Amino acid sequence: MNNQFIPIRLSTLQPDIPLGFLLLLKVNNQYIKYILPEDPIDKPRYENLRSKKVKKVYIQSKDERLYQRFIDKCLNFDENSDVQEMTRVVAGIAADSIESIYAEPDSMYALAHSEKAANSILNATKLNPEVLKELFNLESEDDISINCAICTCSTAIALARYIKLDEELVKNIATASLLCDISLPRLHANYQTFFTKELSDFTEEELQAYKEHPTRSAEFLQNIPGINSIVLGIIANHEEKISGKGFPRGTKKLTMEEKIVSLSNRYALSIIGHKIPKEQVFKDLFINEIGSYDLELMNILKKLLEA
Amino acid sequence: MIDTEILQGFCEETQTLLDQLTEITDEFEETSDVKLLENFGQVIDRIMGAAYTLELQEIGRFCELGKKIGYKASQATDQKLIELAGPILADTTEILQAMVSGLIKKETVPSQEALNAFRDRLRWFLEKFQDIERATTDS
Repeated sequence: MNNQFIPIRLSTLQPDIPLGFLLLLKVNNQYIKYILPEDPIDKPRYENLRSKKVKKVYIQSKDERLYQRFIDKCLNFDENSDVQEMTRVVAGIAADSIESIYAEPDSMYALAHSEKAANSILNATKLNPEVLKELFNLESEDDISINCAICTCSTAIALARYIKLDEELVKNIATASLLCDISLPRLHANYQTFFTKELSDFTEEELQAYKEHPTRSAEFLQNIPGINSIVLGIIANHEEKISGKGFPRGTKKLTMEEKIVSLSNRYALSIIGHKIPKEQVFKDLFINEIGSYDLELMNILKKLLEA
Repeated sequence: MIDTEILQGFCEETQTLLDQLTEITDEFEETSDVKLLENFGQVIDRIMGAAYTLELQEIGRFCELGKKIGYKASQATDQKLIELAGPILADTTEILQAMVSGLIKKETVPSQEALNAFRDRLRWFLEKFQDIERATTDS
Protein backbone atom coordinates (compact mmCIF):
# COMPACT_ATOMS: atom_id res chain seq x y z
CA MET A 1 0.00 0.00 0.00
CA ASN A 2 1.34 3.39 -0.91
CA ASN A 3 1.74 5.54 2.18
CA GLN A 4 -0.73 8.28 1.44
CA PHE A 5 -3.63 6.31 -0.04
CA ILE A 6 -6.23 4.35 1.88
CA PRO A 7 -8.57 1.71 0.53
CA ILE A 8 -12.30 1.92 0.18
CA ARG A 9 -14.54 -0.79 -1.21
CA LEU A 10 -16.27 -0.21 -4.50
CA SER A 11 -19.45 -1.66 -3.01
CA THR A 12 -19.74 1.32 -0.63
CA LEU A 13 -20.06 3.75 -3.53
CA GLN A 14 -23.48 4.54 -4.87
CA PRO A 15 -23.45 5.25 -8.60
CA ASP A 16 -24.66 8.58 -9.98
CA ILE A 17 -24.09 10.62 -6.81
CA PRO A 18 -21.20 13.14 -7.05
CA LEU A 19 -18.35 11.78 -4.95
CA GLY A 20 -16.80 14.94 -3.53
CA PHE A 21 -13.37 13.25 -3.36
CA LEU A 22 -10.78 11.99 -5.81
CA LEU A 23 -11.13 8.28 -6.56
CA LEU A 24 -8.06 6.34 -7.63
CA LEU A 25 -7.45 2.93 -9.11
CA LYS A 26 -4.34 0.90 -8.45
CA VAL A 27 -2.86 -0.45 -11.67
CA ASN A 28 0.55 -2.15 -11.69
CA ASN A 29 1.38 -0.62 -8.32
CA GLN A 30 0.60 2.84 -9.62
CA TYR A 31 -2.32 4.92 -8.36
CA ILE A 32 -4.18 6.56 -11.20
CA LYS A 33 -6.89 9.18 -10.99
CA TYR A 34 -10.18 7.59 -11.95
CA ILE A 35 -13.05 9.88 -10.93
CA LEU A 36 -12.66 13.57 -10.15
CA PRO A 37 -14.29 14.97 -6.98
CA GLU A 38 -17.02 16.85 -8.85
CA ASP A 39 -18.14 13.79 -10.78
CA PRO A 40 -20.27 10.80 -9.85
CA ILE A 41 -19.24 7.28 -10.70
CA ASP A 42 -21.81 6.58 -13.38
CA LYS A 43 -23.55 3.23 -13.64
CA PRO A 44 -21.71 1.93 -16.74
CA ARG A 45 -18.29 2.61 -15.17
CA TYR A 46 -19.41 1.15 -11.86
CA GLU A 47 -20.71 -1.99 -13.55
CA ASN A 48 -17.57 -2.19 -15.68
CA LEU A 49 -15.37 -2.25 -12.56
CA ARG A 50 -17.58 -4.84 -10.92
CA SER A 51 -17.50 -7.02 -14.01
CA LYS A 52 -13.70 -6.89 -13.86
CA LYS A 53 -13.90 -8.04 -10.24
CA VAL A 54 -12.45 -4.78 -8.93
CA LYS A 55 -13.34 -4.63 -5.25
CA LYS A 56 -10.94 -2.03 -3.94
CA VAL A 57 -10.45 1.53 -5.00
CA TYR A 58 -8.46 4.21 -3.20
CA ILE A 59 -8.76 7.71 -1.83
CA GLN A 60 -6.16 10.13 -0.55
CA SER A 61 -5.99 10.05 3.23
CA LYS A 62 -6.74 13.78 3.33
CA ASP A 63 -10.11 13.00 1.72
CA GLU A 64 -11.25 10.58 4.42
CA ARG A 65 -13.79 12.99 5.91
CA LEU A 66 -15.22 13.63 2.44
CA TYR A 67 -15.67 9.90 1.98
CA GLN A 68 -17.48 9.71 5.32
CA ARG A 69 -19.71 12.59 4.26
CA PHE A 70 -20.51 10.75 1.03
CA ILE A 71 -21.43 7.59 2.92
CA ASP A 72 -23.63 9.60 5.28
CA LYS A 73 -25.37 11.07 2.27
CA CYS A 74 -25.97 7.59 0.86
CA LEU A 75 -27.20 6.30 4.23
CA ASN A 76 -29.69 9.14 4.49
CA PHE A 77 -30.72 8.85 0.87
CA ASP A 78 -34.49 8.66 0.72
CA GLU A 79 -35.53 7.35 -2.64
CA ASN A 80 -39.05 8.76 -2.54
CA SER A 81 -38.15 12.30 -1.56
CA ASP A 82 -35.31 12.20 -4.05
CA VAL A 83 -37.63 11.17 -6.87
CA GLN A 84 -40.10 13.88 -6.00
CA GLU A 85 -37.40 16.51 -5.73
CA MET A 86 -35.85 15.43 -9.03
CA THR A 87 -39.26 15.42 -10.72
CA ARG A 88 -39.99 18.91 -9.40
CA VAL A 89 -36.68 20.22 -10.71
CA VAL A 90 -37.02 18.53 -14.10
CA ALA A 91 -40.62 19.65 -14.56
CA GLY A 92 -39.57 23.18 -13.59
CA ILE A 93 -36.78 23.30 -16.17
CA ALA A 94 -39.07 21.83 -18.83
CA ALA A 95 -41.91 24.23 -17.99
CA ASP A 96 -39.62 27.29 -18.22
CA SER A 97 -38.31 26.13 -21.56
CA ILE A 98 -41.75 25.38 -22.99
CA GLU A 99 -43.03 28.76 -21.80
CA SER A 100 -40.22 30.45 -23.72
CA ILE A 101 -41.03 28.37 -26.81
CA TYR A 102 -44.73 29.27 -26.66
CA ALA A 103 -43.92 32.94 -26.24
CA GLU A 104 -41.79 32.96 -29.41
CA PRO A 105 -42.44 29.79 -31.40
CA ASP A 106 -40.66 31.06 -34.51
CA SER A 107 -37.61 32.20 -32.58
CA MET A 108 -34.35 30.55 -33.54
CA TYR A 109 -34.00 29.66 -29.86
CA ALA A 110 -37.15 27.50 -29.78
CA LEU A 111 -35.19 24.40 -30.73
CA ALA A 112 -32.47 25.11 -28.19
CA HIS A 113 -35.10 25.60 -25.45
CA SER A 114 -36.77 22.34 -26.39
CA GLU A 115 -33.48 20.45 -26.47
CA LYS A 116 -32.64 21.83 -23.04
CA ALA A 117 -35.99 20.67 -21.64
CA ALA A 118 -35.72 17.30 -23.39
CA ASN A 119 -32.18 16.77 -22.09
CA SER A 120 -33.18 17.54 -18.53
CA ILE A 121 -35.96 14.94 -18.72
CA LEU A 122 -33.75 12.42 -20.54
CA ASN A 123 -30.89 12.76 -18.07
CA ALA A 124 -33.03 12.70 -14.95
CA THR A 125 -34.98 9.68 -16.11
CA LYS A 126 -31.81 7.85 -17.05
CA LEU A 127 -30.45 8.48 -13.55
CA ASN A 128 -33.67 7.45 -11.92
CA PRO A 129 -36.41 5.81 -14.02
CA GLU A 130 -38.88 6.43 -11.18
CA VAL A 131 -38.92 10.10 -12.22
CA LEU A 132 -40.71 9.06 -15.40
CA LYS A 133 -43.58 7.57 -13.45
CA GLU A 134 -43.98 10.83 -11.55
CA LEU A 135 -43.89 12.81 -14.78
CA PHE A 136 -46.58 10.59 -16.33
CA ASN A 137 -49.06 11.95 -13.85
CA LEU A 138 -47.69 15.41 -13.39
CA GLU A 139 -49.93 17.74 -11.47
CA SER A 140 -48.46 21.19 -11.22
CA GLU A 141 -49.58 24.76 -11.16
CA ASP A 142 -48.31 25.23 -14.69
CA ASP A 143 -50.40 25.90 -17.72
CA ILE A 144 -52.26 22.81 -18.93
CA SER A 145 -50.55 22.90 -22.34
CA ILE A 146 -47.16 22.76 -20.61
CA ASN A 147 -48.17 19.82 -18.42
CA CYS A 148 -49.53 18.03 -21.49
CA ALA A 149 -46.25 18.57 -23.35
CA ILE A 150 -44.21 17.22 -20.41
CA CYS A 151 -46.50 14.20 -20.07
CA THR A 152 -46.33 13.49 -23.83
CA CYS A 153 -42.56 13.76 -23.70
CA SER A 154 -42.14 11.47 -20.67
CA THR A 155 -44.56 8.89 -22.06
CA ALA A 156 -42.78 8.89 -25.43
CA ILE A 157 -39.37 8.50 -23.76
CA ALA A 158 -40.62 5.54 -21.73
CA LEU A 159 -42.01 3.82 -24.83
CA ALA A 160 -38.96 4.54 -26.96
CA ARG A 161 -36.58 3.26 -24.30
CA TYR A 162 -38.70 0.19 -23.70
CA ILE A 163 -38.40 -0.87 -27.32
CA LYS A 164 -34.71 0.01 -27.16
CA LEU A 165 -34.58 2.71 -29.78
CA ASP A 166 -31.22 4.36 -30.27
CA GLU A 167 -30.68 7.08 -27.64
CA GLU A 168 -30.14 9.71 -30.36
CA LEU A 169 -33.58 8.87 -31.76
CA VAL A 170 -35.03 9.00 -28.23
CA LYS A 171 -33.59 12.50 -27.96
CA ASN A 172 -35.29 13.50 -31.22
CA ILE A 173 -38.55 12.03 -29.94
CA ALA A 174 -38.27 13.94 -26.65
CA THR A 175 -37.40 17.22 -28.37
CA ALA A 176 -40.24 16.90 -30.89
CA SER A 177 -42.79 15.93 -28.22
CA LEU A 178 -42.26 19.25 -26.53
CA LEU A 179 -42.64 21.22 -29.76
CA CYS A 180 -45.80 19.61 -31.18
CA ASP A 181 -48.25 22.29 -30.07
CA ILE A 182 -46.12 25.43 -30.33
CA SER A 183 -48.31 26.98 -33.02
CA LEU A 184 -51.52 26.79 -30.98
CA PRO A 185 -51.11 30.12 -29.14
CA ARG A 186 -50.76 31.83 -32.54
CA LEU A 187 -53.71 30.03 -34.06
CA HIS A 188 -56.36 30.68 -31.46
CA ALA A 189 -56.72 33.00 -28.49
CA ASN A 190 -58.51 30.36 -26.40
CA TYR A 191 -56.16 27.56 -27.30
CA GLN A 192 -56.02 26.36 -23.67
CA THR A 193 -59.58 25.06 -24.00
CA PHE A 194 -58.40 22.77 -26.81
CA PHE A 195 -56.73 20.64 -24.18
CA THR A 196 -59.79 20.23 -22.02
CA LYS A 197 -62.64 19.54 -24.37
CA GLU A 198 -63.48 16.75 -26.76
CA LEU A 199 -63.13 17.33 -30.50
CA SER A 200 -66.90 16.88 -30.86
CA ASP A 201 -67.41 20.00 -28.73
CA PHE A 202 -65.15 22.26 -30.83
CA THR A 203 -66.72 25.07 -32.87
CA GLU A 204 -65.96 24.99 -36.58
CA GLU A 205 -63.45 27.80 -36.22
CA GLU A 206 -61.72 26.05 -33.33
CA LEU A 207 -61.64 22.78 -35.21
CA GLN A 208 -60.04 24.41 -38.22
CA ALA A 209 -57.30 25.96 -36.05
CA TYR A 210 -56.75 22.70 -34.21
CA LYS A 211 -56.46 20.64 -37.37
CA GLU A 212 -53.93 23.08 -38.74
CA HIS A 213 -51.64 23.07 -35.73
CA PRO A 214 -49.36 20.11 -36.56
CA THR A 215 -48.45 21.55 -39.96
CA ARG A 216 -48.10 25.07 -38.60
CA SER A 217 -45.89 23.93 -35.70
CA ALA A 218 -43.56 22.17 -38.15
CA GLU A 219 -43.55 25.26 -40.39
CA PHE A 220 -42.52 27.52 -37.51
CA LEU A 221 -39.48 25.36 -36.96
CA GLN A 222 -38.43 24.25 -40.42
CA ASN A 223 -35.96 27.08 -41.03
CA ILE A 224 -34.28 26.92 -37.66
CA PRO A 225 -30.64 25.87 -38.02
CA GLY A 226 -30.04 22.44 -36.54
CA ILE A 227 -33.60 21.14 -36.83
CA ASN A 228 -33.75 17.71 -38.43
CA SER A 229 -36.32 15.96 -40.58
CA ILE A 230 -37.09 13.35 -37.90
CA VAL A 231 -38.16 16.06 -35.43
CA LEU A 232 -40.17 17.88 -38.12
CA GLY A 233 -41.82 14.59 -39.20
CA ILE A 234 -42.87 13.76 -35.66
CA ILE A 235 -44.36 17.22 -35.12
CA ALA A 236 -46.22 17.22 -38.43
CA ASN A 237 -47.66 13.76 -37.81
CA HIS A 238 -48.33 13.75 -34.07
CA GLU A 239 -52.12 13.82 -34.56
CA GLU A 240 -52.12 11.17 -37.29
CA LYS A 241 -53.36 7.63 -36.67
CA ILE A 242 -52.33 4.42 -38.42
CA SER A 243 -56.03 3.93 -39.30
CA GLY A 244 -55.80 7.03 -41.49
CA LYS A 245 -58.44 8.76 -39.33
CA GLY A 246 -56.07 11.32 -37.88
CA PHE A 247 -55.27 14.79 -39.15
CA PRO A 248 -54.16 16.92 -40.96
CA ARG A 249 -53.33 14.52 -43.81
CA GLY A 250 -55.03 11.31 -42.78
CA THR A 251 -51.93 9.34 -43.63
CA LYS A 252 -51.57 5.73 -42.53
CA LYS A 253 -47.84 5.64 -43.03
CA LEU A 254 -46.11 6.55 -39.80
CA THR A 255 -42.60 5.80 -38.66
CA MET A 256 -42.10 4.11 -35.30
CA GLU A 257 -41.12 7.41 -33.67
CA GLU A 258 -44.22 9.08 -35.07
CA LYS A 259 -46.42 6.24 -33.81
CA ILE A 260 -44.87 6.63 -30.37
CA VAL A 261 -45.53 10.35 -30.15
CA SER A 262 -49.01 10.03 -31.62
CA LEU A 263 -50.01 7.53 -28.90
CA SER A 264 -48.21 9.49 -26.16
CA ASN A 265 -49.93 12.68 -27.24
CA ARG A 266 -53.32 10.99 -27.09
CA TYR A 267 -52.57 9.54 -23.65
CA ALA A 268 -51.36 12.87 -22.24
CA LEU A 269 -54.38 14.72 -23.57
CA SER A 270 -56.75 12.23 -21.94
CA ILE A 271 -54.96 12.16 -18.59
CA ILE A 272 -53.89 15.78 -18.19
CA GLY A 273 -56.37 17.63 -20.39
CA HIS A 274 -59.56 15.62 -20.03
CA LYS A 275 -58.70 14.34 -16.54
CA ILE A 276 -59.81 10.83 -17.43
CA PRO A 277 -58.60 8.15 -14.99
CA LYS A 278 -55.81 5.96 -16.33
CA GLU A 279 -57.90 2.76 -16.35
CA GLN A 280 -60.65 4.49 -18.31
CA VAL A 281 -58.14 5.82 -20.85
CA PHE A 282 -56.97 2.29 -21.60
CA LYS A 283 -60.52 0.96 -21.73
CA ASP A 284 -61.32 3.64 -24.26
CA LEU A 285 -58.14 3.03 -26.26
CA PHE A 286 -58.67 -0.73 -26.41
CA ILE A 287 -62.36 -0.48 -27.31
CA ASN A 288 -62.76 2.65 -29.42
CA GLU A 289 -59.30 3.19 -30.82
CA ILE A 290 -58.25 -0.30 -31.87
CA GLY A 291 -56.52 0.16 -35.20
CA SER A 292 -55.80 3.85 -34.56
CA TYR A 293 -52.56 3.29 -32.67
CA ASP A 294 -49.92 0.58 -32.76
CA LEU A 295 -51.31 -2.28 -30.68
CA GLU A 296 -47.89 -3.37 -29.40
CA LEU A 297 -47.17 0.16 -28.20
CA MET A 298 -50.56 0.34 -26.49
CA ASN A 299 -49.82 -2.89 -24.64
CA ILE A 300 -46.36 -1.67 -23.65
CA LEU A 301 -47.76 1.61 -22.35
CA LYS A 302 -50.40 -0.21 -20.33
CA LYS A 303 -47.73 -2.48 -18.90
CA LEU A 304 -45.43 0.44 -18.07
CA LEU A 305 -48.17 2.33 -16.29
CA GLU A 306 -49.31 -0.69 -14.34
CA ALA A 307 -45.77 -1.42 -13.16
CA MET B 1 12.63 -3.51 21.55
CA ILE B 2 10.87 -6.76 20.72
CA ASP B 3 12.97 -9.79 20.01
CA THR B 4 13.11 -10.43 16.24
CA GLU B 5 12.15 -14.06 16.65
CA ILE B 6 9.08 -13.17 18.73
CA LEU B 7 8.13 -10.49 16.21
CA GLN B 8 8.54 -12.97 13.37
CA GLY B 9 6.29 -15.43 15.22
CA PHE B 10 3.67 -12.75 15.78
CA CYS B 11 3.71 -11.80 12.10
CA GLU B 12 3.33 -15.38 10.95
CA GLU B 13 0.48 -16.16 13.30
CA THR B 14 -1.22 -12.86 12.57
CA GLN B 15 -0.93 -13.51 8.85
CA THR B 16 -2.94 -16.71 9.26
CA LEU B 17 -5.58 -14.83 11.21
CA LEU B 18 -5.64 -11.99 8.66
CA ASP B 19 -6.23 -14.56 5.94
CA GLN B 20 -9.19 -15.83 7.94
CA LEU B 21 -10.51 -12.27 8.26
CA THR B 22 -10.26 -11.84 4.49
CA GLU B 23 -12.19 -15.07 3.96
CA ILE B 24 -14.86 -13.87 6.38
CA THR B 25 -15.33 -10.49 4.69
CA ASP B 26 -15.36 -12.14 1.26
CA GLU B 27 -18.04 -14.55 2.40
CA PHE B 28 -20.00 -11.72 3.99
CA GLU B 29 -19.97 -9.91 0.69
CA GLU B 30 -21.68 -12.91 -0.88
CA THR B 31 -24.11 -13.80 1.90
CA SER B 32 -24.58 -10.73 4.19
CA ASP B 33 -24.81 -13.24 7.05
CA VAL B 34 -24.41 -11.23 10.28
CA LYS B 35 -23.03 -14.26 12.08
CA LEU B 36 -19.87 -13.73 10.02
CA LEU B 37 -19.43 -10.29 11.56
CA GLU B 38 -19.42 -11.88 14.98
CA ASN B 39 -16.81 -14.39 13.74
CA PHE B 40 -14.78 -11.45 12.50
CA GLY B 41 -14.90 -9.96 16.00
CA GLN B 42 -13.65 -13.22 17.52
CA VAL B 43 -10.73 -13.63 15.12
CA ILE B 44 -9.58 -10.01 15.30
CA ASP B 45 -9.81 -10.25 19.11
CA ARG B 46 -7.01 -12.82 18.99
CA ILE B 47 -4.77 -10.47 17.02
CA MET B 48 -5.62 -7.68 19.46
CA GLY B 49 -4.64 -9.81 22.44
CA ALA B 50 -1.29 -10.73 20.95
CA ALA B 51 -0.60 -7.17 19.81
CA TYR B 52 -1.27 -5.67 23.25
CA THR B 53 0.86 -8.37 24.86
CA LEU B 54 3.75 -7.32 22.64
CA GLU B 55 2.93 -3.66 23.28
CA LEU B 56 2.13 -3.05 19.63
CA GLN B 57 -0.34 -0.40 20.72
CA GLU B 58 -1.29 0.98 17.32
CA ILE B 59 -2.14 -2.45 15.89
CA GLY B 60 -3.96 -3.30 19.10
CA ARG B 61 -6.11 -0.16 18.89
CA PHE B 62 -7.07 -0.82 15.28
CA CYS B 63 -8.02 -4.38 16.19
CA GLU B 64 -10.09 -3.12 19.12
CA LEU B 65 -12.07 -0.80 16.87
CA GLY B 66 -12.53 -3.56 14.29
CA LYS B 67 -13.68 -5.97 16.97
CA LYS B 68 -16.24 -3.53 18.35
CA ILE B 69 -17.60 -2.85 14.87
CA GLY B 70 -17.84 -6.56 14.11
CA TYR B 71 -19.70 -7.39 17.31
CA LYS B 72 -21.98 -4.38 17.25
CA ALA B 73 -22.83 -4.76 13.57
CA SER B 74 -23.70 -8.43 14.18
CA GLN B 75 -26.40 -7.24 16.60
CA ALA B 76 -27.64 -4.31 14.51
CA THR B 77 -30.96 -4.20 12.72
CA ASP B 78 -30.29 -1.37 10.26
CA GLN B 79 -29.67 -3.24 7.01
CA LYS B 80 -27.77 -0.37 5.36
CA LEU B 81 -25.31 -0.22 8.27
CA ILE B 82 -24.90 -3.98 8.35
CA GLU B 83 -24.09 -3.99 4.64
CA LEU B 84 -21.53 -1.22 5.12
CA ALA B 85 -19.82 -3.05 7.97
CA GLY B 86 -18.49 -5.78 5.65
CA PRO B 87 -16.59 -3.45 3.29
CA ILE B 88 -15.26 -1.34 6.16
CA LEU B 89 -13.97 -4.41 7.98
CA ALA B 90 -12.41 -5.59 4.73
CA ASP B 91 -10.53 -2.27 4.55
CA THR B 92 -9.51 -2.71 8.20
CA THR B 93 -8.04 -6.10 7.36
CA GLU B 94 -6.06 -4.58 4.52
CA ILE B 95 -4.70 -1.77 6.69
CA LEU B 96 -3.76 -4.27 9.41
CA GLN B 97 -2.03 -6.37 6.79
CA ALA B 98 0.11 -3.39 5.79
CA MET B 99 0.83 -2.51 9.43
CA VAL B 100 1.89 -6.06 10.28
CA SER B 101 4.08 -6.32 7.17
CA GLY B 102 5.54 -2.96 8.14
CA LEU B 103 6.89 -4.48 11.36
CA ILE B 104 9.42 -6.37 9.26
CA LYS B 105 9.60 -4.36 6.03
CA LYS B 106 9.44 -0.75 7.14
CA GLU B 107 8.74 0.61 3.65
CA THR B 108 5.28 -1.02 3.53
CA VAL B 109 3.96 0.67 6.65
CA PRO B 110 1.19 3.19 5.92
CA SER B 111 1.97 6.82 6.68
CA GLN B 112 0.83 8.22 10.01
CA GLU B 113 -1.55 10.47 8.09
CA ALA B 114 -3.17 7.44 6.43
CA LEU B 115 -3.41 5.60 9.75
CA ASN B 116 -4.99 8.61 11.44
CA ALA B 117 -7.48 8.98 8.60
CA PHE B 118 -8.42 5.32 8.77
CA ARG B 119 -8.76 5.34 12.54
CA ASP B 120 -11.08 8.29 12.08
CA ARG B 121 -13.19 6.18 9.70
CA LEU B 122 -13.48 3.35 12.21
CA ARG B 123 -14.49 5.71 15.02
CA TRP B 124 -16.98 7.49 12.80
CA PHE B 125 -18.51 4.18 11.77
CA LEU B 126 -18.54 2.79 15.31
CA GLU B 127 -20.55 5.82 16.46
CA LYS B 128 -23.35 4.73 14.18
CA PHE B 129 -23.94 1.77 16.48
CA GLN B 130 -24.12 3.83 19.65
CA ASP B 131 -27.59 2.48 20.47
CA ILE B 132 -26.06 -0.99 20.77
CA GLU B 133 -24.61 -1.30 24.24
CA ARG B 134 -22.61 -4.50 24.01
CA ALA B 135 -19.31 -4.52 22.16
CA THR B 136 -18.99 -8.27 22.67
CA THR B 137 -21.48 -11.04 22.17
CA ASP B 138 -21.19 -12.20 25.80
CA SER B 139 -24.51 -11.84 27.61
